Amino acid sequence: MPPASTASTSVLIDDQQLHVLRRATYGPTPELLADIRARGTNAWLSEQLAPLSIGDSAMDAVVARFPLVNAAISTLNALAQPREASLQLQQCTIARQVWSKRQLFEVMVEFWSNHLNVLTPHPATYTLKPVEDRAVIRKHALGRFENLLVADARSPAMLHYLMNNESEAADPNENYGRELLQLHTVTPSARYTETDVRDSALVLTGRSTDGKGTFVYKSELHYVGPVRVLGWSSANASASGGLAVGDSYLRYLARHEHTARNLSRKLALRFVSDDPPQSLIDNLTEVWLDTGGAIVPWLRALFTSPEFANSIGQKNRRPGEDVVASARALKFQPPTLPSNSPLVDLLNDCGRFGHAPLGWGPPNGYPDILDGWWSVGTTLGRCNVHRQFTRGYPTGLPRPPLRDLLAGPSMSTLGAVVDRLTDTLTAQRFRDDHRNALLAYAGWSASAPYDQRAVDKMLPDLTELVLNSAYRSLR
Amino acid sequence: MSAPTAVWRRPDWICAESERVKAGLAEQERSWSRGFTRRSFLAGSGMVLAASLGSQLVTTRHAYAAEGTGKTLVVIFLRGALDGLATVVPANDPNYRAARPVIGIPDSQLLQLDATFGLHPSLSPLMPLWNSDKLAFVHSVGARDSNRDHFASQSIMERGTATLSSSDGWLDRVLAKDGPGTTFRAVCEGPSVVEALKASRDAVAMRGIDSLTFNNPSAKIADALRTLYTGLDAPVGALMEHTLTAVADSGPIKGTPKTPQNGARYPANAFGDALADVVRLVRSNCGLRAATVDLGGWDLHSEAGTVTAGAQTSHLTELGSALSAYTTDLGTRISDVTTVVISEFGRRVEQNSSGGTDHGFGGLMMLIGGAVRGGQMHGAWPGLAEADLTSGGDLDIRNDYRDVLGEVALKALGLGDMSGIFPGYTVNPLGVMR
Repeated sequence: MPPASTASTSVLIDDQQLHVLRRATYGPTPELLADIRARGTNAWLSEQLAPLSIGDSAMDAVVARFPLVNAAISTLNALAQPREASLQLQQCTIARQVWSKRQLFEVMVEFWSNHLNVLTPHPATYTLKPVEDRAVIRKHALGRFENLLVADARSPAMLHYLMNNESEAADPNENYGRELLQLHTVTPSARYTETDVRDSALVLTGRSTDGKGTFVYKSELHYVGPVRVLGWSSANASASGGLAVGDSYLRYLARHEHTARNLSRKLALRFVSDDPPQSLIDNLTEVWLDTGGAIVPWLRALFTSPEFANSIGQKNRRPGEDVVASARALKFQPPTLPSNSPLVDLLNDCGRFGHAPLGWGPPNGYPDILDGWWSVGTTLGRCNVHRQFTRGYPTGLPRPPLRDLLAGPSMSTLGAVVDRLTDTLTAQRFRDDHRNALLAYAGWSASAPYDQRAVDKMLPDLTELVLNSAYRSLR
Repeated sequence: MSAPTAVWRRPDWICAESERVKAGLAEQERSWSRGFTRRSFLAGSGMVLAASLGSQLVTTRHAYAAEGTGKTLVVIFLRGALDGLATVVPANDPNYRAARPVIGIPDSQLLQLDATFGLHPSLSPLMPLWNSDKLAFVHSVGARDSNRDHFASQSIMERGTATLSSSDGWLDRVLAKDGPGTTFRAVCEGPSVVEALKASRDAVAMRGIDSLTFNNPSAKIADALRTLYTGLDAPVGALMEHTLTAVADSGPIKGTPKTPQNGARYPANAFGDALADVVRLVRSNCGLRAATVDLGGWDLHSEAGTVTAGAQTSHLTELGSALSAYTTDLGTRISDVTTVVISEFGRRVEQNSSGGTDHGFGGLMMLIGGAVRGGQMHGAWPGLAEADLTSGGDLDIRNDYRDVLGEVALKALGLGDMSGIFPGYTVNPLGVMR
């Protein structure tokens, strides 16, 4: 089958392994590149798709700095400042994106968190979202969508966010019932009606919490009587059977072809391009339906598709991804002091660009296309953050000196310095005109002999410029 | 854990806490901001435009407008669906009273607008505008194609059509008709360009003009970035070019005093900051033709509260005080600046069991400016009698949003006509503008 998209003419070099790393991680590093080169793409991907096979003890130690992320709900309930739980989760999310070895897992955690969006921090979710993050999203991120959806419909965070906790038979709150159809599963392309929406809400009545963060099915709130949504129906004859009826409804939606198509399009949007080829969406849909919505084979199909291979340079890093990728490129290390304030700084940087982890308000999740982030202010703000990053900010995150970016055999010219820097930060040489722009900024001639003082003086600014360049804003 | 409060509720708890988390993050927590992930609504806007943009930016721009010639249209979008019936309230209406026994605004509290309607008392700072004929409302207004889905309905209103094949925004088409303009002819105060201005990609999205400043003091930084983004087969090249142009042309605006004029006092939040920045842009004579500002938090499905306390009241208080400061700050320039406040749809007439309202149909628009035919309600009003409601309990739409926006844009910017602004639709002015 011929790929629908033409081969890219991006400034990014046609290096498939580098391409995989740009999309499947929060930013390639020389170490990751060496790893995928040594083991081959398939072996590397297979390991990433089995995240528990990857030792990540250093990461565990960082996560332990955020004790509320893994705290029991009873502990969270007792907090004087419950918002702290939410802020720890956001910081920990950034930390995992920067330092976890289970990179593709973290990428998919973000994908599902965004698909089943629940805003935090928010008073309704301060303490509930950390539980959902670990017990629903992370648990099922590489499992089967059906199980994710069923678990999500018992998640206090989601039930409170979309107010199903207060929905009752006599007067259902349609919020969750509607978004379940519209956003989480089949989308309006399935042509459901307002009656379907109403029945969707009725099916879900009774799914609530004890008000202390634990899921409770309240049969007295459940609507009893026949319900029908699209091709699914149930006599729904007893209040006590309502939870099982709801599960059967959720599983129906999860297996629906329109759900497969919706999610396959979203996956292609995340990993391939802002305008993904229909052929790819069709194939991913087929794989999904064949495997009953199993996420691992679906991702395998994506990464081995010709459409993926032909999409080099067709995605852009969103602002938060840029912050994380830049931190990775400069090898920021976890804080050594007790304070987590450097991670608050990173969180603030993301937040200022409107891209704090888990911080999107409406239930449709962050946009995943450049159009959604088209901003002069953010473009400039990203450049400013890159500059700060090359000058010791955020204080408290140790990092090697910038001259380590030039490590390797000795260089005889200033042109070689620029090449070494781009090799390290982008795993490729810049096109001549772009290379010349760096040299001109530094006031260097490419053939001028290596000069330690000149290098020391210009290295921070050149690093900043490379981070600003399209070689890094594209992914 | 504390009892959950209404989703999308904002202010108090944020100001009260003292984490190091600063404005940007707090703003995210506050906002029910726009949704535009629907690829289907943006079909075709991705790669197609990339090639033509760089040249367009260069050829249609000059840095500055002729002194003092500027008329400006400001569109404030209340994201999440404003409860129009809690804002401009049918007075002495037994149907309203019956539908909203708890959250209804008592007649005795209303600020009388005309024989039929009264204003929510939290908007009292706006009464001087009403009394001086600079404020008008249109009730029962909206997009008949809207479907109670926030994202699709915002998209319809911002694109000015329900036709999916049309991927540009209504303000894009207004500005195309308006002709060439300056770098700052279109500004979105916020993190990104809104869908109403999406297609041409030359609107400046920013959080205030002062944010458009490089930390890097080198005079060479702009040239280096320009070259680094030259010759890319990717739309991000145009974005960088656009950014550098905006920074280069921002000097005179930054030189315009930031201090609000005429004793205006804005609320200390992002919405107040955004409106103050719009006025600064107007004062700078930078050629601003269209500006957009978003305010979220209106999706009050539960615990909307009463006239004395709660989310609805606190939101309207914030809106009213900010708009009052904004018009004070504008001073005499209010004759050049027309402001329209819109939302994607109205809310259901009847309150729900959570003390809030679910998604409805007919909504409310607010018009402010010296060119507005103010001090009066405009358009038809169907009433709230059961027989007049639609879809089993919603205020009907008797006034098409395009009739209002079309007339406003035509008069506010002095366009020759409105043909083509709303594809397949002929604007029938309601007489909202002088």
